Amino acid sequence: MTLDDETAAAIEAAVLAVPGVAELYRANPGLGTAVDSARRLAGRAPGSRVALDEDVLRVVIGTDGSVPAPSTARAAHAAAYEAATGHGVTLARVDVRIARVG
Amino acid sequence: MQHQPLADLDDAVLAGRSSDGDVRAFEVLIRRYTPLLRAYARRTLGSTDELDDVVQETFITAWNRLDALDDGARVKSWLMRILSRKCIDRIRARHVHDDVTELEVAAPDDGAPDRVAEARSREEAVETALAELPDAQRRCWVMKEVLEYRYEDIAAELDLPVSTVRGLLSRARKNMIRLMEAWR
Amino acid sequence: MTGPDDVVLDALEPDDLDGHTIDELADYLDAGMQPPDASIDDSAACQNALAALVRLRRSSMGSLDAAAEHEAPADESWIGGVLANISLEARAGRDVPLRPVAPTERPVMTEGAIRSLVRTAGDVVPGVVIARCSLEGDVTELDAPVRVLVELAVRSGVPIHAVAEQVRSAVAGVLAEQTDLVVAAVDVRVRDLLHEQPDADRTPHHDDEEDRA
Repeated sequence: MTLDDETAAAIEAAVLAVPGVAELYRANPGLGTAVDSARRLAGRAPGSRVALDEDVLRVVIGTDGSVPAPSTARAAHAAAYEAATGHGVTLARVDVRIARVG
Repeated sequence: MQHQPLADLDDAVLAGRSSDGDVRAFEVLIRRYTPLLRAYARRTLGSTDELDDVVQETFITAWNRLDALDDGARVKSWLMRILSRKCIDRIRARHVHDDVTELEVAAPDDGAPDRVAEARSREEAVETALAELPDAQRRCWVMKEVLEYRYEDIAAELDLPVSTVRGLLSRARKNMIRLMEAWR
Repeated sequence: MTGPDDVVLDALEPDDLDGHTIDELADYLDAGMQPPDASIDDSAACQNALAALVRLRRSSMGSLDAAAEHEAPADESWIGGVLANISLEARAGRDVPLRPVAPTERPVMTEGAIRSLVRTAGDVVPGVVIARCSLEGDVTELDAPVRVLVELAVRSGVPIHAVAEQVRSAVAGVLAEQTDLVVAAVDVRVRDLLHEQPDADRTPHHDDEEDRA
């Protein structure tokens, strides 16, 4: 299943609104900042920072340390899950990865 | 809050923190060594538009390869070795016929000692002397004496037999000693 | 005009160097002059040649350092150009699980993020800088006991045991609050004295803004 631009944007906005979330990183490790179109995942809308792998949504965040990281991860998960399913995406899981703290 | 300004830390601590993912520490290394790397690139590639790119690429590669740096205190020469490799690649790319390994046996010309003697400092004298060497001798000298490569590594980098590298270094050593005797 | 202190190094062939080539001498230098070779150590000509090589080596690096002073320093946009092309991924290390609550959760934190937590906690202790941090054990498995290794550089005169204890306590505290790691131990090792760089870069920049997202 593919994430359309609108859904991806809604998920990103929801996650960024979570207290303690400072930033959202590209969810595909190894690409750095260069977008390699040949290796783009089928499930990811171009330019988006969240990725859908079949029924698993992957989100990579940086936290600002104001809230303990485990709580922030939970809240980010909840926000992403709600936004995605609210746009009709079927999800088994949301994997939140904290790549940076404080 | 940090009590010790990052900018005052020594190379070993900065390299270790960079390897652990501290971007601010890496930034200090960038500030600290950009001028040196520029100077090296300028002397290797000439003054060209490529200087900025090749030095930036060096830092980007360094960040990705920090695992390979065993001794953080040696980050300076490690950075220079990464740069050296990129410069050699660019020199190769410039020419259809590879001049990285030209093996002419030419010695410095007769005017060389006078030019060295005119230098106003020992550092300037060495730089003048180096510039007087044939390219292949200078490259081997710099790779051995400044970058601290081993003979086999120089041979691998320049795609030459080790015996040729030894021969070039032998000539470079004699030429450098003789030229520097002209400077007092 | 030559005398014992004024050996002319014009002549660098084996005949002039008591049977040695300049290259043997260079290799001897590389080896730290070990094992000692009396035929070199006791030869005035060889000693002069060795001294010349040592001076040359030093001056070669020195000439580059001098040349560096005439090069433009890295400015903000230059640095930005590098930073835009380096990724946290490259130094992220392993994914360390956090405790999931709902079955739709699978949260993780990277080792890189954990190390930065440790640095921030440890750097607060006066007179101390975290030099390195690593996690030992099966970090990718939730509830597996993990040993945290921290290496410090401390300012001369700082009481080592006291600061080590402060760091240990600060690190244990932040890991308990911000991760779900089962920390078996926090090993703090003082590795170094803090050395000032000889020409420390005094260009004002934004250390205080680090990591303020």
